Amino acid sequence: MGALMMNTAKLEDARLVAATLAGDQGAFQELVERYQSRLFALTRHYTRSAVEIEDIVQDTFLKAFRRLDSFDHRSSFYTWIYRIATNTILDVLKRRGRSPIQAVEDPELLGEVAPVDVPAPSANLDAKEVSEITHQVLEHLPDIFRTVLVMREFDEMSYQDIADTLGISIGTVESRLFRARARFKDKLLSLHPEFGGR
Amino acid sequence: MICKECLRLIPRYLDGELDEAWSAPLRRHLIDCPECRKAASGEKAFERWFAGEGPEVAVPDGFAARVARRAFAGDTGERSGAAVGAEAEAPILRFVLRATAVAAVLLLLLTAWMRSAQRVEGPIRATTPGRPLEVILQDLRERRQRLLEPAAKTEEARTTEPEETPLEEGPAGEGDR
Repeated sequence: MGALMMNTAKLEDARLVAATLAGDQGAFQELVERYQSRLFALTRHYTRSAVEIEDIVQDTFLKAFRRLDSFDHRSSFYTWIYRIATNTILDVLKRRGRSPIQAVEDPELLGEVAPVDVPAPSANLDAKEVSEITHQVLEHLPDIFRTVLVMREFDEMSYQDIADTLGISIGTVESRLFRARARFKDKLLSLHPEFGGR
Repeated sequence: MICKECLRLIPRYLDGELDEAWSAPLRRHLIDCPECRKAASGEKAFERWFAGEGPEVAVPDGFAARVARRAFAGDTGERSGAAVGAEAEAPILRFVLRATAVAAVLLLLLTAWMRSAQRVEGPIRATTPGRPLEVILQDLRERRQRLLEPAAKTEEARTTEPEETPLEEGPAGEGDR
């Protein structure tokens, strides 16, 4: 059933892409409507500015439109546009002077991290509070770690997809995720020591 | 499988990225080792920090229509990069503007000081090349006056001499006619 729905979605995407390439503006608008919410949510993991989020998502779709004839349907349209969105976000972060994802990795950032034990969020916290704390902690992480955590934990991307999107090896994805999680736990406890007491 | 190896593989196992050749011995180890089982359980609990949907982001009204319109109008989507680039340049621009403003104020102050210094030294100003026109004219008038003074005296002497000598013959009032 799920596979059938996925296939239907893929066929619909293919039809909209073909119609857009044939000059149908309405088809492209429909394509944007299908994925705009997910891209807004993705971009929100990296910036709180509503204006910046809108700019990034808009530019992602405009870049996708410009390169639409290079979309070969091997991956889903979302996977394809997700890569464009990630690269647009990383480009913005880089221009803003944040740590680039593919730069020579700072040994300080990647130094050995001792595993810290962090319990699951307390049952007293509702989903919104947990999400708020998680994003507060994510904002304190270098982008190099935040990116892999967002891709893996929120977007449930496979190691291979993360590797392809970031242009790194699967081994690097694995080690970076390991360090990112350790960093997250460490930062969580430094910002909220109350979670370490149980 | 030893504990060290097991602990290294647990995240990958929980992420569903470990193939069966490694997963089977890992599961067997977890059954036998309470310490590693505890570590695996801790990792699984950690995942719950990411279970939420994330903050809600409202898509602005008419966003899709606007983007489609721009795309078909030829917008290439390089704006956010440029905007952020401009944002990054903003501190430099702010510094340059402030430095220019400070320099302009200093220049004005310096000019005002120089003007006031010149006013204090007024008499010097009258002899400098930049003296006012009325001063120059007055100077020229005085010079002219000095030059004309001897000639006027000579003329005066010449015109008073005939009074002492007899006038030319002829009726005195002839010239009036």
